[in-house]
Amino acid sequence: MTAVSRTSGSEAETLALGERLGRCLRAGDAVALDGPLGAGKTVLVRGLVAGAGAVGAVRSPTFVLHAVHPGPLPVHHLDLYRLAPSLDPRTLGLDEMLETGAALVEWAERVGPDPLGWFNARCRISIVGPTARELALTGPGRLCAAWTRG
Amino acid sequence: MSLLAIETSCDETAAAVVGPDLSIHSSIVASQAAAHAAYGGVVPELAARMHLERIAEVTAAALAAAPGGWGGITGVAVTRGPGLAGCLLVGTAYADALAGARGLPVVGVSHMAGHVWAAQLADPALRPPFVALVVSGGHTELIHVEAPGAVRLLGATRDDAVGEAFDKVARLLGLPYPGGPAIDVSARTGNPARHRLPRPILPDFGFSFSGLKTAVRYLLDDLRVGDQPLATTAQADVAASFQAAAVDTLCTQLEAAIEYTGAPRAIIVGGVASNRSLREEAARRCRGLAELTIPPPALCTDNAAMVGAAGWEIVRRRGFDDGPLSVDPGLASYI
Repeated sequence: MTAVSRTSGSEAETLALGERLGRCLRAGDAVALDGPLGAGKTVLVRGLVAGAGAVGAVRSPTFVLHAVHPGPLPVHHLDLYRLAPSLDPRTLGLDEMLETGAALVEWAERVGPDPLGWFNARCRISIVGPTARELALTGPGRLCAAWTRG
Repeated sequence: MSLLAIETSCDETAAAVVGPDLSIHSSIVASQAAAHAAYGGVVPELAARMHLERIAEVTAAALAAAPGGWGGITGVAVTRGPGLAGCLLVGTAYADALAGARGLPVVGVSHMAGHVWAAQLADPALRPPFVALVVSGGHTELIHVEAPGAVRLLGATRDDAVGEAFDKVARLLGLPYPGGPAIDVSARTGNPARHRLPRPILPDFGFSFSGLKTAVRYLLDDLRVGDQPLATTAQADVAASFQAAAVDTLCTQLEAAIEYTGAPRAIIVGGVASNRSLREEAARRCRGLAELTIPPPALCTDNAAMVGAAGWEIVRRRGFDDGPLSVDPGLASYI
């Protein structure tokens, strides 16, 4: 596991960071996305989906719980906000999704500290100013490298 | 002869009997909300299991309250998507089994089409062409129903649905879940002009409510002193200002869609259509522009009568389905 932090001054910069990371995603990657309301988790997902070459409008899946974006690497977008805390993400079919695709999971902190290791990467977004955000990524070097270059 | 309609896509187990003239002979809704609240959120497996436990009694109650019981039923309509896969499977499997045992045909219905055709339950004279504003926890879309079976998506939210914005703002304000009704009530005593919040009007009839949610968050950061909760009057002012911005945005895009399509009629459907401020403001702004129908609140939130109405629309247009139904959790169709 490696770690990297980046700051973003705008929605466009968060989107660009997402695209860079999305290009490094592989089948089996399950990225936990944490951060308070309005942090820009869905914006980051929009970048990740575009970077992975997947298609379809990215909207908040808070109510629909799960949206899939088809592509060479199918990207699954999940949201645990409305779900009971400490829920086993496998009940949402996470294992099946990861066989052929990647999963991006908003409000992942709701499942707790993840002792069983459902996620292989985690990005925590902190609000540091009206449009400024800090994005702290931990995960395999292959993913962190997306943000260490340039 | 009536349709027996079944709805299990989310956390309401519902059954209804709807006549061909769209009269509602019975409509039973059993909510799971309290059960999920005990866990602090939705538990998908629990939702499917509770549908399974309740569907027989809910269906029996709907049939018992309808004239003629089974004798008055000509077919079964059931929601096949969008929704939770496990929940949808309970409804479609039950509908298939009932229909098979009784020798009746079945028709699979989109939950979204159900919301749209709920308007015809409120006004049986409603016919295309019309514009529909579909507003719920998961959807904010403007569609043009040009003719039977011909539906064009005019625009949709780019991020959060409006119902989601209501829920998340309610949580920021410390109001109880579900947030929509809580904000509706709190806003009644607040000043909607107290805070000016963003009203993004996107091209192509698009919506964006994520920025409004974030603006409320920053407003609360400014208003709060330390960890003290907001006074009730201040809370009501924020609720009213947020609601005014959301409702204004929805009405502005609805007016634009009516003008663009030239449709003589418009409807507002989905759970958020039960919001009192939206109902009043839309009625005022559509006057002289288009004839507006908003179903009563009980037909805006999830129910099975709307599935019966959409079922009749499909059966008249193309008949019943052949063979067992498949579920489609990501179904995005209005027809």
